[in-house]
Amino acid sequence: MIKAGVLKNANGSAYIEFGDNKIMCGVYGPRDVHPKHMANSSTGILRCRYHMVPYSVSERKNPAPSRREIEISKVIKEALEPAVMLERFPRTAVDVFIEVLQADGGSRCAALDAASVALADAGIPMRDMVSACAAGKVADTVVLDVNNEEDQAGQADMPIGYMPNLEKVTLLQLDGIMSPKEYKECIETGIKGCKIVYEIQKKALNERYFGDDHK
Amino acid sequence: PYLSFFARALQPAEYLATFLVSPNPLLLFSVGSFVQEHGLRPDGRKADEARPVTVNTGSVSTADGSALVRMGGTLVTCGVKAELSNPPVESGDCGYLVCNVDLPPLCSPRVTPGPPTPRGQSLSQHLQDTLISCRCVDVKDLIVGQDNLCWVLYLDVVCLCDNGNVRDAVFFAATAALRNTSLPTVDVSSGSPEVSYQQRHPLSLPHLPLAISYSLFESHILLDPFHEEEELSSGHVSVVVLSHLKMGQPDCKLIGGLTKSGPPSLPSQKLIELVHRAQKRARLLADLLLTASGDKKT
Repeated sequence: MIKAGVLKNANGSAYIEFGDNKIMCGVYGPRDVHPKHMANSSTGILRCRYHMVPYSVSERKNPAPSRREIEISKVIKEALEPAVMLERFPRTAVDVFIEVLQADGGSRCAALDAASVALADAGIPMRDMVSACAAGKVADTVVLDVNNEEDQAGQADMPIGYMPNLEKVTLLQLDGIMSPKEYKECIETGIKGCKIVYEIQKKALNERYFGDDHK
Repeated sequence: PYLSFFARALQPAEYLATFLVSPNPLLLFSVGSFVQEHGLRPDGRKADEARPVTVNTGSVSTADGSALVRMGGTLVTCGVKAELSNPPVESGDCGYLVCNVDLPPLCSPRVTPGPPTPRGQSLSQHLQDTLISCRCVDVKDLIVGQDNLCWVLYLDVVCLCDNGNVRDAVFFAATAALRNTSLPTVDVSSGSPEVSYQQRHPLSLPHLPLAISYSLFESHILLDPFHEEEELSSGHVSVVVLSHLKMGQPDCKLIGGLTKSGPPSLPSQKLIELVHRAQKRARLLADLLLTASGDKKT
């Protein structure tokens, strides 16, 4: 379930529930870059902050950004960059902020899905939506959307970020052991999942702008 | 008389003042008489009117207690996590609380990523001090067995959207989350503690704090300010009312805290009046909380 336009302050926002993942995303931009030296004179910059609230996982997490959160922030930013038309806004920044309220495996994919919807809700021109879904290998079977329990006990986890209309992959990571055949099957399963998520993203934006309870 | 229009972005203080009746005679001529007569704020509220409040509890299953509060456009969530630990050396036979209020860059265009700001830290400190000094959580009840074991409650409050009056939303979310919290039972009879997550019992909460804040703009006292009013106001008053929520009929009489900062200075009679109004508002909030958790007696 994805709901767009949930935060008043952010230029664009989205809330996603993907399995037991509950994630809030807000986008500000294009706006001035502070500190100024980070601004790029020929294109806008995209900045991303992925953060988990302390009670989002079963063992309380320290509020300070961990290495994992910083890595995921970087990965999500790089997954969104091919889609956003940053060259239209030189010397500005588009900030994507993600707060994970509850996590249950595949949160980077859910976060990426929410971020794409939030960017669209903010009216930032994009070449395509980015839809993400993870596939994996559990008990020697290729499965779609691995949750936390399956991830701990499983053999591989592959998050995929995909642009459905341009048919291009913007994010691909793999943790685990796979044969080349399993790898091919895993990518194909993942992309099928991404296309399903894309329909839900479109529905969220449709409801926001053309729905009956349009605010 | 001449008409002067104040652009909201360029002259925000003047813009706000045109809605409220201001002692400045020039401004009286700038907006229609309807607004002058009724003294409304830019969002149509009177000075002592608050925004609609909604509360939702127990939606985050990884937390031992959680709540989501919306006050107008301000959105705040709180989660409580309980962990086993050793009691602090100074107090010995009780558990303890750790509060943290986070204002991430998501909540406002004015917040940049980085370490906690003075604003966030002072909110954390205010919440922690209130819960401890007012004895809102029975910390003796957090002791487990006889063997130097206790529960520590981590209260993490995250503001998702700062549209003004975060303090009230933070206190309300913390109160709602504490009421929603349940602790697993620990069996210490066999030497090493055995935790059973399925069998849970609620916290012992003598009373819970509800903050009611006003901002002081020129000569006006505005209840539940939204972010523009807060920024333009030079002074603030916050009243913390302690609510006894057990019986289904909330009792909101005790005052757990009062802060007044910034100009203009107020006569003590005015402060007493604000405290009375805060008690009434606390009663409304407590009613809402009881209804939300299904504990209201009809």
